[in-house]
Amino acid sequence: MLETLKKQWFVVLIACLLLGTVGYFAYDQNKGKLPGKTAGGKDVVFEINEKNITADELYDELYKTTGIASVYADFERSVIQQAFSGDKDTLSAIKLKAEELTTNTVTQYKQYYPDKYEAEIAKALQANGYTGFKDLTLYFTNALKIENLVKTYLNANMDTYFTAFKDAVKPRIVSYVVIAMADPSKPTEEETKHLQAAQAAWATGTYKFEDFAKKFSEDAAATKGGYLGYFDINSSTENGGSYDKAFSGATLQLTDGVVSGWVKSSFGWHLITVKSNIEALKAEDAFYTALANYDIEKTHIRSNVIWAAAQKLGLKFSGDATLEAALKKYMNLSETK
Amino acid sequence: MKKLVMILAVVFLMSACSDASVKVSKSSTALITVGTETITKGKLFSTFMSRYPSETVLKMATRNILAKVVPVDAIIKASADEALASMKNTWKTDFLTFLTTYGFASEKEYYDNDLTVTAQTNALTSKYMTDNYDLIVTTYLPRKVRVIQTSTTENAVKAIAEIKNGANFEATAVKYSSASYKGAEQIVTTQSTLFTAALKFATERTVPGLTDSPVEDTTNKVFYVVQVTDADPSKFKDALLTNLKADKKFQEIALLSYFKAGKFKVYDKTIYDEFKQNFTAYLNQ
Repeated sequence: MLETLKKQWFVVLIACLLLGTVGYFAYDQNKGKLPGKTAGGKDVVFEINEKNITADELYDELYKTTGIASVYADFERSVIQQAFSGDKDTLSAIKLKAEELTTNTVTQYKQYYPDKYEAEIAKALQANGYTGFKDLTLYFTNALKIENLVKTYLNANMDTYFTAFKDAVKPRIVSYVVIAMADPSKPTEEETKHLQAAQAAWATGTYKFEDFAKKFSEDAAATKGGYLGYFDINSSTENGGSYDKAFSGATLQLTDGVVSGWVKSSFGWHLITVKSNIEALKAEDAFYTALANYDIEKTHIRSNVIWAAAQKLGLKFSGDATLEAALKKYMNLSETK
Repeated sequence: MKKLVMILAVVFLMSACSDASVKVSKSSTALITVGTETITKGKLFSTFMSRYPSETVLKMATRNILAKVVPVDAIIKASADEALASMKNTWKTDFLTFLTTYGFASEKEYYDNDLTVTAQTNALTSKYMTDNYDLIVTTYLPRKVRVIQTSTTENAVKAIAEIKNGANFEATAVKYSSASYKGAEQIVTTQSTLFTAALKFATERTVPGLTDSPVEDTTNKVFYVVQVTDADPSKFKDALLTNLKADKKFQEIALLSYFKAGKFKVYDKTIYDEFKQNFTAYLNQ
């Protein structure tokens, strides 16, 4: 053996060098790596006081504490990704909207967390069952798909939900004119002149509301014919919204297609008109959002939509009735659903 | 030569090792099937692991420590019973609403997972304080003090002069204090959060005494008059232990020492990284 080694000394030298190099490479690659541990064939998560706590034990504990929320997160994602079958245009619109929401969210987070915005977004996503920052667009895509499914469900069940909603919150689409005043209780001479000119012009009865708003209204909505959008009792400052009390009061009194008289608010004087028919409301996404959230503790519309979609796809609980009951309870669905 | 190649191959394979990432057993077990997708035990575990598992790990490890060091006995039970009776008395007919609001499914769950754990935690802190009393005294320098906070240096100077001339400390505090506390005697340590600017003077004194001049808090723009009334912790040991047991900081100091003694070690990169970020003091690796 020794003789052979002596004869092949150059090969042995090269082999030793090679072994050393590979050994160092292996050491260098593994330096700082967290080692794993197994016990009884199971992965160990941590040890304390010489006791190994396995991944199975952690799974059981997490299942007990936050399990059903995670089950729901996975369940909802599975349903949405398979159940949504919008046409090409809808899918394209969702894609664009999701990208826009992603950009806006990143911009907002960058303002608050310039150095760690990705980590903060990842945290928020993880709390919703997503993996991390890279899932932000997927998160919005799924949210928009759910919104779309909810919209389809509401359209199919409008008779069930709309009447009570309409009576309770008075939904309407609003357009308005404003003759702006810094302090409407003490208008300047120029402000008074503007108001008088507008009142005289409207009194002639020759203007369509939209054209009148474009010509006389004094804020950004004028270019859109005074279009404000979806409005209900929750839009008023009195109910936690942001709209002036007098303006809201007058708006909520109006019936479909009628134009109000001149209304004084803290911003000036207004003419207001509303569309409260179902077709006009259906053109607004905000209407569907408000309807889906109305009396949510009783209706659970979103849960109904997800559950119905899952059943349509084919839903099997692998014989685990406890899990099915727990998921239904989490989704606020009755046992008979 | 073949053997050498084999060795080199093994070493190469070793060099491809990555950070440990735990997996649950029977991970392919199906839980729910929706359409063509199956939610398996493994997939659910991945979701669990993406939702801050370190907090649960911390609770599990703490439970292990509590069970080992201060197992549930008659004293712990009595303490939990007393706390339960007190909560029931506070909430009266709204007790069930209280349980629901705080996420407890039943009174038993509240008793087992909250009140008993709290009683054990208090017992653990108490044991640590008793076992390590000398170390605590030399490390955290407990003192009995009285403090007056004033908004101007002039008022602080006047207060010092009056106290030196024999005026009652608390009466002087009422006269000059700009804070809600009016010179009542209290125990402080280097870990106290009240009047931190005055702590150096208080904890470094080895005999009772009064500040010669006001201690300025440049951050809050206030001035302190500090009187150490007792610099010998052995004279107020019981009060000190009671005080420290209720202090969250010392509860953590106690718990940390048991994590260290128990050689707490994590074998999963996700959890390790979370600990490194949020509970780094608990790691011993």
